[in-house]
This record gives sequence, structure tokens and C-alpha cells, in this order.
Amino acid sequence: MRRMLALAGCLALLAGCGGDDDEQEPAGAAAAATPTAGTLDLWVGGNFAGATPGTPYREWLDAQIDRFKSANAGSDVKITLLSTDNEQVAAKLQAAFQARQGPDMMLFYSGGYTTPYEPQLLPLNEYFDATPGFFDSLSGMDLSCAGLDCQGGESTIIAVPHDFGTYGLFYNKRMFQRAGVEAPLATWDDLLAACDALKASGVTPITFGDRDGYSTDNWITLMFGSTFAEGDVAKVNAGELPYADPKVVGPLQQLVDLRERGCVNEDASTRENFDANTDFTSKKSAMVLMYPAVIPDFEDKLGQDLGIMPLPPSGDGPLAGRSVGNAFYNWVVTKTSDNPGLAWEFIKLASDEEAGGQLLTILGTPPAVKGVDPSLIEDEFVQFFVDAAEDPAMPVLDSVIPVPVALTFYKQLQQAFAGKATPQAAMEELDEQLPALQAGG
Amino acid sequence: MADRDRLWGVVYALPALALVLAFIAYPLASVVYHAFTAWDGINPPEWVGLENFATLFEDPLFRTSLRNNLLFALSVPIQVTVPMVLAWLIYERVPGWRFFRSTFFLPAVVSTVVVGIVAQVVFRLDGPLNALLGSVGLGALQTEWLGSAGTSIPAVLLVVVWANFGYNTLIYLAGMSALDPALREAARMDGARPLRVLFSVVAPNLRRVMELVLVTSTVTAFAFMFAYIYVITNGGPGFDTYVTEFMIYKQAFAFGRVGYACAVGVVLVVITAAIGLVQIRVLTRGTGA
Repeated sequence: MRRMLALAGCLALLAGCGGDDDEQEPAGAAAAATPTAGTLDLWVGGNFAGATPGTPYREWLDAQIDRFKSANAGSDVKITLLSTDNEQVAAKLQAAFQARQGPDMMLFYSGGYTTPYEPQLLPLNEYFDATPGFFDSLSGMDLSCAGLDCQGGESTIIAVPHDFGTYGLFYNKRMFQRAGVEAPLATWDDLLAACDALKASGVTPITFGDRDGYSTDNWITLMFGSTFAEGDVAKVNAGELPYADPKVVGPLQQLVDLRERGCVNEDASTRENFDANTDFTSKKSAMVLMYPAVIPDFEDKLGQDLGIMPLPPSGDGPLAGRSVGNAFYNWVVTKTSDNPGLAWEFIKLASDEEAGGQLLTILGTPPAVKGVDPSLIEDEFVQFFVDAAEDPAMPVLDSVIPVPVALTFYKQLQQAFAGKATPQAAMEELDEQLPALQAGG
Repeated sequence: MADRDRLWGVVYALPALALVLAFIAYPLASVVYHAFTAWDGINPPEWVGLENFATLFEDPLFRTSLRNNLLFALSVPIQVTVPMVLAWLIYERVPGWRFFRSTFFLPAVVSTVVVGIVAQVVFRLDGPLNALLGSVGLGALQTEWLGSAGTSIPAVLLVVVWANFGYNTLIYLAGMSALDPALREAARMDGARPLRVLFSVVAPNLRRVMELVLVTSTVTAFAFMFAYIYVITNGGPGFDTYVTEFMIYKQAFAFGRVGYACAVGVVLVVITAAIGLVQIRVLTRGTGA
């Protein structure tokens, strides 16, 4: 009996040792696959993970699926909502790809969130080549290519950009009026003065939900537009511009000053990012920095009191005053898909002008596709984000840097903002950790 | 005949053995193997020998996590003694014992995640605890309980003790009901007061039960803190409430360092097993067990 157990144990050990050394599937298809009718498995993440029936996200997805079904008789799309928690998504994707049970396609965060899965994603160059004009119809392609540089379509394309994402400073007009503050705020000093006036009127000026460092990141990533020069985001990503550089530390110090001045909610460091929205819509605070997808909810809750403005420049860098943003989401086809041709058909349809128009009207989000009918924009808030999409100065930093670096960046931002480390020390700590974070494993 | 019986015994044990191999031995062996690799959880692992362990012992976050585990282990004496006293009160049928028996056990039947969410709300700056302090004139004590290590670790510790002591009380009650009632009666007839009976007669006879409670509570402090930390503080603020399990999760799924996470896991298993063995050794010394 003991011998049997020992033998079984050895077999288990051998199985454990060999379990993950299997050959990976060969690199992507050499040629675009022909679509055949069938049901596609679509996994959606990020805010789309909240696409439950009745939500604007689901409405948009269902609209595309209906169009797809009309155009492809006998085909359908089955939606799986991923977790809103990126770590749980990572765990699910690791397990799915290990088991060769991935979906046909996914809609999830772009850039550094997509590139780690590059070996599991189908290179789309042949599909783009087979669809003349498609590459040029989309803006912000670089974050959807290997190395985050498409080189005009010459490098490996792993995704299709979905939207243009950035942040706007939403404010409560009534609270501003009561405090005697005039919007828009033109300079950082105006923001500080508004903060003092709002505080004096008994209102929390700005809400942060910084438990995970997201609010500080949203703010600072826009503030880099006031300190960075052309190409600095790429330099940070390449390690050529350290995080401890004054261009990074300076804006972080300004945010810490904002907190110390009492401009943000006292419990900022223990509240979640979504809590900031709730505090704003429940009229506990006068301002919150958010992305376009919140427009329907904010309009519903605040009505005529809702206003929006760009974050005032916090420095005098060469790009100050221009917007910062990129595609927050992109579509990918996985190598585990047994019907990549049909997946491509869906993605093409979900990326065309009609889908882009619906993205504007249903979700208030500017699409990645160019040439959407401007008459569709009836809302000042949507117009704000469409204008921002016109000429972005640079992408947001955390869309570019690898996920492990981004998550550590958030954590260090949170440390500094909470006053647990100086901005300089927090960024130096990140610089020290970079080699290990980039090495992975 | 004996050989035939033995053969049947093996046959009957095979399904259980297969399950143990599939769900315990294989994952354990896989974790040990991957602890010596650089692996992102998706692409093929690369053998790196002891590199992960060398990194681990230099990693300040690992030291912080382990220190926090030790701080949570400070609750173990409370988790061992308080439930015993409560179980004794119920066993002695103090007035209202039926009510106490059910309410003590109530936290144990509530999901850990629910306990965590409730705790997070209670300890918020605008939560009921601060509201209560304010309403009874103790406004000076109001603070952001989860905002710094000085208060967040004791707060989580309090939640863990509260959530777990129902189980331990139940275990003690089971142990007490198995005791020979004559022992108690004899002590009483000799004039021993209730507390004397508890500590001099009942407690020594509950040594095996105490051993179980001690070991499970210690293991909890080291290896079952994840849900509480994930829900209540998410390891923050900063890294203040990181524990080793939480670090494993973050390294594996946030940072894609599955090989490194396996190394942390192996070290955690070794530490927990060592502590458990020492406890059992000390408690069973002289009992012939």
C-alpha cells in the first residue's frame, strides 16, 4: 500500500512538473479565416462588465448583436460579463488560456492591459489587409499594436480600438453659484480659490475614491499634460524618464497639497473610486473627475445642476491646455477562437460609423471610428468629450505602461496622497521596483 | 483471506485517493514546482532555481505581510480563552443561555464577505461607530479607523475574533458535554467555586479541544485572512494591512508573477506547518499522545 501511495505521489509530482510546458499554439493565422455561421463567445470587461440588462452598456451591445444577427443569418453572440476587478479578470484569463477555453473575442482595457495577452491573441494584420480602409477609419490605433506602435499598420496589430477615453471635471452648478465660484476654472490657482470658497460654503469641494489609487491616478494622468513634452509618456514606459523626475513628482505634490488644503473628502484614502461618483451625485461634493460613461447617470441624478469643464492646467509645459486620452477599450480575437472570421465580422460591425453613433447617443462616449455624424451630438457633455478627442496631446500614462507597473504606480500614488510617503519617496520606490516589475514571472 | 480483504480495502480507498491526488497532491506539487520558475500563469514557465526565494527574503513587502500575520496572531489567546469562558457559561446554563447559544454562533453562519462589508461600513469615517461615539460625547475618539495601520489592524483583528469565536465556543461546548459530570460534582462538593471548577477541573480535561482551537486559530491568522483583508481594507492604506495570502493573490493575479507567488505560498505553508507542529508538540508534551 505504501508503495502504491509513493508511486501515485511520484506520478502526481511528475504531472505537476510537466503540466505547463506544452508547446504553445503557433502564431496567428497566416490568412484571414472565412466566417462560418455560429455563435460567438464574447467576454467584456471594464465598465462593460456592468452591462446587465437595462443598462446603457447592454443596450449598446445588444444593438450591435441585433445588427450582426441581421447581417449574418444563423449567427449569434453570447455575452459573458467579466469581473470589474482586474485581478479577478487576470485570474480568469490565465485559467481560460491555460485550458485553451478562451472566448472567441473580448472587449477590454487597451494598451498595457491587452499586451500581456499578446501570445494568446490573434494577429489581425491579415484581417485589416482584407478590409480596405478599415485601418484608416480608426483613430488611436497605436495602443492596439505590439510595442504600442502600429508603424502605419506595419507592426503586429493585436486589437481594434473601441472608443476615445479621457476625463472631465464634472461640477455642481448650484453649489458653485452658492459659493460665488464662476466656471470654467481657467488656472490651477482658480481651482484652489474655488476650493476655498466651496469649503467656506460648507461643501466638500472635490471627492476622491482613492482606496486603490485610482482617483489620484485619474487626476495626475491629466496633469502630466501640463508638465510632459511630446514623447515623454513613451520615455517613462521605456525607463528613460524616471518616475522620480520632477515632471511626475511635481503634479503629485500638487495633489498632496490639494488634500492638505482640505479640498478633498477626508476619507478619500479608504473610499472606492465609484464612491466618489455617489458622493457627487448625492450632492455631498461639488466636483469629481470622471470619464464620459458616467454622463447618463450624472444627468439623471443632477439634471440642470450638472456642469463640465476641463481640468485647469497645473503647469506650463509645452502641451499644457491640450487634452490627454486614448482608446480605453479595444476588441481582440483570441487564438482559441474556432471561428475567427466570424469574430472579425462582428468587430468590424461594432466598429463602424453606425455603432460609433450609437456609442455617442447611448453611452455618451466618443468612438474610435472617425466620421461619425456630428448632428448626433445633442448633449453638451458628449460634445465636451468629442472635442477632447479631436487633438489629444498624449495617451494616459496607465494605458501605456504594463499592468504590474501601473498597479504599483497606483499604490505608490495612494501612499503619497494619503501622506504615508512623500511624493518623491513614493516615486523613487517605484523606480526601484521597476526592474522586477518589468521582468515579471 | 487477509490479502483479499486488503485488496478490497485498497479498491475502496481508490476513489478517495484519486481525489486527494487530484485536488491536494497535484496542486501542491505544482505550486512547489512553479516556485522555482518565472511564470506569468499563461506562457511556459522558465526554471530559475532559487531566485524567487532569494528575492522573497529581500522583499520588504513580504516582511510587512508576515509581520501583519504575526499581529493578527496576537488574537489567538483571546480566541482560545474567551470562547471557553462563554462555553462554560452556556454549559452551566446561566439565565438566558439558550439566547446566548444562538447569538454567539450567529457570526459564524454569516458569509465572511458579508461580515467584511458590514465591518467596512461600520468603521467608515461617516459610519455608525463614529456616529455612536459622537452621540455619547466621545467625539474626540472619532477617527478614520481604516485609514492607518495603528487603527486598521486592531479593527480587522476585532472583526476576525468576533466572526470566529462562535465556532470556537461550539467546539468547547462539544468538548464539555463529553466530560464526565462526576468530575464537576466532586469538585463542587469539595467547595470549589465555578471559576475554580472551570480552570482547575474542566480546562485541563479540555486539553485536546484547546489544542484544536489553538491550532485552527493560529492557522486562521496566517492562512485564512484573505477575505477579511480583501473586503475591508484591500491591503491598504498603502501596504499597511497586507498579509501573506493577500500578497500571494496580488503577485499572481495583479502582477502576473505566478512563480513568485508560488514561492511565497511555499514559504507560508512551511511557516504555518512549523508553528502548528510546535504548538501540538508543546500541548501534547507529557500526555503520551
